[in-house]
Amino acid sequence: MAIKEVKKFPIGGIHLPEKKGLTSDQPIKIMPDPVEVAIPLSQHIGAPAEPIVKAGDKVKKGECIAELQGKISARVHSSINGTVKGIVERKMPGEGSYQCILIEKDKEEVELEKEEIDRKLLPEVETIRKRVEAAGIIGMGGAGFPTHVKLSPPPEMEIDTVIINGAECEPFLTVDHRLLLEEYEDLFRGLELIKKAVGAENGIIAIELNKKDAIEKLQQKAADWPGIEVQALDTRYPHGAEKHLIKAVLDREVPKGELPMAVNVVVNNVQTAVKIARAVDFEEAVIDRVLTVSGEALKTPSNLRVPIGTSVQDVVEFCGGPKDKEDYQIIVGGPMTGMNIDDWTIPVTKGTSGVVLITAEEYADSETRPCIRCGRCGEVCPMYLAPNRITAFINNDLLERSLEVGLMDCIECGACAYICPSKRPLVRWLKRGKAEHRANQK
Amino acid sequence: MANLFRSSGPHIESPETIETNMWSVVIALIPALIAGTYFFGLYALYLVLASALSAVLFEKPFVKSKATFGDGSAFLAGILLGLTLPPVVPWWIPILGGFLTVVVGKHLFGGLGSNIFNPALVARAILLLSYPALMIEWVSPVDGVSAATALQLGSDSFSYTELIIGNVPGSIGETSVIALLIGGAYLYLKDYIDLRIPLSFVAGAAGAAMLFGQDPVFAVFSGGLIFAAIYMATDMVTSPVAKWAKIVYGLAGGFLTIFIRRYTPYPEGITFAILIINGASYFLDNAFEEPHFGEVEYVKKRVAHFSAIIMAAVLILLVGMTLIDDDDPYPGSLTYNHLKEAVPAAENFEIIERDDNDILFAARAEEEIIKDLVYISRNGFEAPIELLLSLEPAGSIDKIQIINESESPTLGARIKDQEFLSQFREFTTAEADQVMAETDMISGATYSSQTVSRGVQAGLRLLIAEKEAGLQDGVYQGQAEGAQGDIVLEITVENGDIVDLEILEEQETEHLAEPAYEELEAQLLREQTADLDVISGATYTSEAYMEAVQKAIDQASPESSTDGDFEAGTYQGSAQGHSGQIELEVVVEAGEITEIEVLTQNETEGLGDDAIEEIAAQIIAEQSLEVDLVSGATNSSEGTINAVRNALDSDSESAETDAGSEEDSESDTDSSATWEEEDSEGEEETAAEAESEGGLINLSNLDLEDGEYRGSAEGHRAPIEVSVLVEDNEINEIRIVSQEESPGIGDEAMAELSQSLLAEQSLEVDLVSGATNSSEAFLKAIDNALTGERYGSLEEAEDLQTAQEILAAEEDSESDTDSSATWDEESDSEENAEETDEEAAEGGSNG
Repeated sequence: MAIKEVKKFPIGGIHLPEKKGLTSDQPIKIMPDPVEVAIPLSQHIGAPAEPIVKAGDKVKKGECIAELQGKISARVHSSINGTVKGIVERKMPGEGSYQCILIEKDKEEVELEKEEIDRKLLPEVETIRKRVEAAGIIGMGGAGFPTHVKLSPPPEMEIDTVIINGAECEPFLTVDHRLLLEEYEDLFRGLELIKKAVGAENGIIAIELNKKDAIEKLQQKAADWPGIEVQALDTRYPHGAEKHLIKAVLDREVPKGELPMAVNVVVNNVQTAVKIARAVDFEEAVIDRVLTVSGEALKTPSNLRVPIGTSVQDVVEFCGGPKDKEDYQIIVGGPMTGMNIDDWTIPVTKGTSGVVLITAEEYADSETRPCIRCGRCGEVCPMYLAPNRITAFINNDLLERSLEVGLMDCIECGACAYICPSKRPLVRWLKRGKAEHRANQK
Repeated sequence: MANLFRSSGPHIESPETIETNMWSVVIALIPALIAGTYFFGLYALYLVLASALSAVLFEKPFVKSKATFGDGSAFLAGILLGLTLPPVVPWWIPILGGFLTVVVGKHLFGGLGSNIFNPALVARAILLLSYPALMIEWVSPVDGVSAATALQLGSDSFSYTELIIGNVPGSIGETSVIALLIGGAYLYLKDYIDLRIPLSFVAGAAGAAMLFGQDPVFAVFSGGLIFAAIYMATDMVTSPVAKWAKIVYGLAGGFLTIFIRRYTPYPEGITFAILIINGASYFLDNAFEEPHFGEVEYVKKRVAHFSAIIMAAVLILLVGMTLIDDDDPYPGSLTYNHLKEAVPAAENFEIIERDDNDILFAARAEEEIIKDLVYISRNGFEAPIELLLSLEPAGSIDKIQIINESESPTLGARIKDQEFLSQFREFTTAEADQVMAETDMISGATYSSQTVSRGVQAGLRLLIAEKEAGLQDGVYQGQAEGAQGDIVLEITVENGDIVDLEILEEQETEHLAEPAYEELEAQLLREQTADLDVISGATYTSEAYMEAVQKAIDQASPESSTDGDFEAGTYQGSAQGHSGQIELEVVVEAGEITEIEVLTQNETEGLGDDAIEEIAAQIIAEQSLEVDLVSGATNSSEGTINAVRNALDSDSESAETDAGSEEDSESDTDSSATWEEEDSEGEEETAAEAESEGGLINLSNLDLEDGEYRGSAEGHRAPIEVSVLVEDNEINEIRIVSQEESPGIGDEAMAELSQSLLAEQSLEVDLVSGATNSSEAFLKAIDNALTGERYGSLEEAEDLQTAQEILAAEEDSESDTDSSATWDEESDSEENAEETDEEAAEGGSNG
């Protein structure tokens, strides 16, 4: 089936080298349970989960080990069968650290019992929300917003459209691509459940053109699912940014400081929708996730299903480790918005979409040079900002002025820093400015 | 040790660097550099390279980069400066320029990225102000000799094709539009430039040109504007970043360029326009901050904001332009003192005609025009050369003054030497077309001298145009039906102005009409038009009065002087074209121009020569010189028309005196002749002196062959020409061939004199009182006729008389197509007439 209409957001954005070929053709492999997992209590936005197990407790795969705390929070489940060793601290990518429940793997494998549900039936809205909450589902694209909250919009908000974000615009990452091809049944079901939960009429699965096989396959399959369409998007970074996805697909602009609900839309990641289907129909908790382990410095790039809490070291070693012991840099997440880490013990969380090893040569650490005011940063900025001006204000201690010219509107997509011919670390400066502003507000 | 600000993304970077940016622009400039080298020679290439290398060298102490050419920014700035230099500057100019670019323009401001102003233009501005003579020394790409640029010469100097290809005088890299566009296309395709600035720059310039009544295409293609739009205004460091700011920046730059060209002494304008908008970049970025994603409400506010700014700007501009026009009666450096100095005797100076910056003043004393003053401003090398010509009412140049110039002090300034200026005093309005050709140029300052010469020519033409447009001197009657009956009145025109009005006949109610007449007459003399204010209480009378005045004025209005019948023959004429003289031959058969053959011409191939052909064809088709000019070849077109006029004038000068009689006193003669003979003072002298010397031929011992004799003498306004038929040594008949004496006075006087002369067979007759001048002139004309050679046989004279009568009758019936008289068919009469004319003139000066 030919792809009819290709949409895109109107202003800004860049075309990145994709490097997705390393893993796009590799089916998802299942990584065996590691000997121990460190499951962070706070993988999501909101209050950290409250542990309900103590050292020495035996836990089963899928058993809840931390309850949600407060309204915006998410449950945490054990990803392996094993024994709780206690609470440990693990570094976060970037700054700070996680409180984690450390679980050591037991020898024997125990299957969790499941209640079968007829997939043809649509459960009650309350059932959907409850099961999603129970499964500890959060936004798995990286933002980590608790999904049961997202599925409970305030009654005055009328939602008409649910968009599944299959743009996956970061280089290297092919998680969504593989899930679209391999787990589309769960995806369609998940989307149907989300539509039901929020009361939307339309469901749209938006996919970038660089995943042509997925678009064609899903367009074909969508015929069986009334009220669900597949929309092709031009390949342009950052199509995966929620607001730009909505702008591209529906031509609706989310007002400054508001959520997609303001324009009657809910957006969910592909893997989140899959997890929702599994949670509602099979009461499966989020105990693992699919991520892409890739990069030119890695021996065997793969798409892996990894238990939550597995350390980055275990993941990389499962994929053969780096080609050269010296020449690599590890990035958790994609190369545009991910974090460069120097600690192997960092655990995989529900929001970890990938681990990328790039060579030192590829790695962006050129000398910072003076701004020549070429204006490219402004041309590519999807938020229509002028990063050179904002950062000039930040660097000259004019935080007030930088706020006036839109510092807090920045989505930190990194397009400006990528394109800058003077190699100025614009996003780092912007993040520092935001952090300073938040500190001032407290 | 992970740190948020070290470890966050993006972790990959684009291959774009400062170097790729800078070198791409250098690559884009290669076509322009090749074009410059091709047109101006290898020396031009050396200049550009010297500028670039000097810039690189002078940057060395400021940067730590190990690369030979640094980051390429100095090299690029050097190339840009080099391309804006004239192709013949001394070798040290680019070296100094490189220093100024890098050190003064860039590193004194803090180095790459910190300079407010375009470094190359900073250097160029300093050079331009420090070495004005060197920085405006242009040469022709064709022969390498000193030449003026398209901007200095004006919009019809070069064709669009020449401007696009670039084989015109100008800066090394600025002339070839096509080469610049190729480079621009390369940059665009490689995504190194945003089209907003170049396009809006061009649009701003074109708009401004239209606003100022210039040719927008010419304005855009000349003076390096394309170069500036693509390479100078887009300099990243000094131009704004926001999208709308770029557009406003470009529009302002283009507008300012044209504004500076138009209103300041710097003809190119680019340098200063861009430096000014550079200064506004930061402000523009602030003012035109884009609404951010999601600022839906904000957008509406912005639109209102923008509209307000634009409307305010337009308002300021309009007010400004009005003020400029109103507050400045004298353009350029001209002041009242200059006028007063030129004609100390004058009491006031009235602006008669204003053509752009050129002004024609009438210098008056006691209501009489004593001198015509023409102010002309033409672009010199740097500042305009401003001339003030003082002309005698007869049309000869009395005094020429240069009231302002900024030519190079050693050579160009020699245009102020009396030795040079005095040569123009030989020219009169009649010779306007020959001024350019006959001026002795100052060697080494050809352009400056040419400019002066062009100015003088333009001044004379301005005067001619004005005189042609004015009323013909004379006394005219008009008649219209008033409230009680016909009102007949008579106006007197002198020097193109209505100077008197007399009511000859009326039956209006006296107590109402009399005050109205007085008021209307005062208005008429003041406003010089029949469109007067109606006097309340005397509406019918006023309207009839106006109608009558209008009829009188209609009679005084001239018709086109070159239309109509021409005398058969072949005439040659020449005039200045675009480059050199256009000489051509005009063949007239049966009163019509049948053929125009170009003898020599040196016009631009494919443009000028085609224009000549087209103009010639038009003239033949329309039998008139009032034809449409060929656009893009205005100079060639005008040259052709002038050459044809010159050819026909050369004929009319000789043919005029033997022209067939035009009974109508307002018969149109060649305009130059009119002025020469207008001077009433001179005429009185002539007559008086002639009388004191006596010297009239004694008719009692007349010893002449039978036949017709013709002669003429200066009359009241025009020559009186008479034909005297002699039979048996006696004057048989006196015919007046042409005259323009006052109707009812002069002509009656002449008739009376003829009677007594025939009766007494003597020239010693009593003059007619009240018409002394006419009487004397008439007698002198007869004297001239009889002392000259025989004109023709009596039989021929009879035939001619009949023919003329028929012709006159025909013409009368054809309304007022009088025009330049009926040419005599006799070709051999020319010589004869010429002599007669000469004698008449001698009589004037000797007598």
